[in-house]
Amino acid sequence: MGELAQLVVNALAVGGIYALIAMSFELAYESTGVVNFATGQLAVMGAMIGASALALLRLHGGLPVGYLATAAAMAVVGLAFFAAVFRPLRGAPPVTIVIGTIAIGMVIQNVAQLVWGPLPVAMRSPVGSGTIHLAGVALPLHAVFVIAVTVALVGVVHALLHATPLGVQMRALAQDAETALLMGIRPLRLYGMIWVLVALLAGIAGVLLAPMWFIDVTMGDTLALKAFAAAIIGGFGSIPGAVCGGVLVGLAEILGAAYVSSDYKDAFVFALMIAFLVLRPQGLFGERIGARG
Amino acid sequence: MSEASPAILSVRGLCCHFGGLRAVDGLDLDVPRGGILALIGPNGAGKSTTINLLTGALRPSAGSIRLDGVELAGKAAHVVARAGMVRTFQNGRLFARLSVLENVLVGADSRLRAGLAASLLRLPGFRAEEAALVAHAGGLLGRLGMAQDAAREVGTLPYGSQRRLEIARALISRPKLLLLDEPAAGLNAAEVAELGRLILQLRQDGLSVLLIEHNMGLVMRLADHITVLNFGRRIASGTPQAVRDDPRVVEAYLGRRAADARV
Repeated sequence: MGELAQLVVNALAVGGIYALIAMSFELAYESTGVVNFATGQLAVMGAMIGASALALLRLHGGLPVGYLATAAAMAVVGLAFFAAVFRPLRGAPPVTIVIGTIAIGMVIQNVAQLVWGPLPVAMRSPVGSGTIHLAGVALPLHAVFVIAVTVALVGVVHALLHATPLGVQMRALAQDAETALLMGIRPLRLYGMIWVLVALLAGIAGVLLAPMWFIDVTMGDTLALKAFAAAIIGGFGSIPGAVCGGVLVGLAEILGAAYVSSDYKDAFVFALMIAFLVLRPQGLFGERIGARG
Repeated sequence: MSEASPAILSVRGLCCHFGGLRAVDGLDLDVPRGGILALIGPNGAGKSTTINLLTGALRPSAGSIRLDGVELAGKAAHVVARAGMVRTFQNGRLFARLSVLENVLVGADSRLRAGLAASLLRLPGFRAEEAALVAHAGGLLGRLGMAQDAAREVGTLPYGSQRRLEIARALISRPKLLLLDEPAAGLNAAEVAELGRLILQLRQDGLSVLLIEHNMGLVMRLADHITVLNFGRRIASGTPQAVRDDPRVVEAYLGRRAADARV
């Protein structure tokens, strides 16, 4: 019983991280139409920058400054992505843009290899490596922290998109860019903000993951594939779906590894994804896609 | 700015050529400041192309478009909208997955300063700005008799309300000139009468209007001035009375015989 509770908490933490990466993926896809194959590299970038920033800034103001610096750096990465891929390729065929994101992912990965080297980075959790005891079960503090941060971020992004005029305009731009422009929406400003948000979400996922797993520069595609599975399970194009899909992927991976075999943990995830593709291709929240018309 | 100029919108020599086709060919038109200009013409005369040229959706081959003294020819659509010229659409272009109130807020970008950080962190100064916008949007809906529909999905609205919602979405940016593209299309007689009252009320508040419309009863009732378009050119321009009696207009609509018979 206690073991299962621990596993579930770990699974929720891992699932939360996949959910954040999937949200980054969905946000880019929904609001700019770009299937961003560099999402995983953005997450790795967040972990690498985070580890370096914390190491460098530990003596100058400590953790909060390190995290703020990481967020600022990821915002810059998002703007660079916007300027280097999205803007020049706007209006190009989708395949061209997809290849562009793959290319930028490879560039990020190789630059990261040059800067940080092939060795994995470890990062301390802001809440330490202790455990908390809840109803007699010892839970890793960092996992609980990750779940809390994920829930908070999902809430913040949801509130942004649904409760602020800025978010409403982002959704309008996603639905019908031509009409949105005729209503005076400044496309570059909004697209720029969306790419900052895309990079921030992926980067935060990387920072949260680094204390749990060792992260090296080649992990981007593995992470992106899990997030992609989460997006398919949740229903492509739905942010609540990305969150539920991420949690399901985390559960399949962690529980499969614990109770069956850790050699096949990725296979469980993709078996789940394939089952959804066959039995419910629209995913959990897929009806919204059909309603888009 | 150019308060002396009697025209809020002044178009000169506007051309749009698609290959050999001259969809709009040297068009001149003036919308009187604080008045209503109706742009009419038979189907295919170039009215839709004209509105696309004015709003920046199409780039003119030649010509000038001055709104309140500012040259807008060839400018991007969002620049034109922010300069104060906003349109509604003949075939309903609302954001189907946004609520009624949210659709109105889309039009408010020119009045929104809050950036990403302010919106994410809900900074108090920007919350006041947002609250003011939402209040203004609610007020506009109230004025159009749609206050009770604010939270509804757009798709569930009756057709007449959807047309009014487009006007509210255009008005929230506080435009200098409102372009109405066949606002009466598909409305019943009572709704058309209501629309007419609304447009006159807006003019009373000082808004200038360019009205593209097929419903001649409505045009004759509302317009201060009418410009008639055929084959991309202006064939007549004047007061409703003068235009109605112009033989070139009768010919464009009914053919030469009818025009001869009347003369």
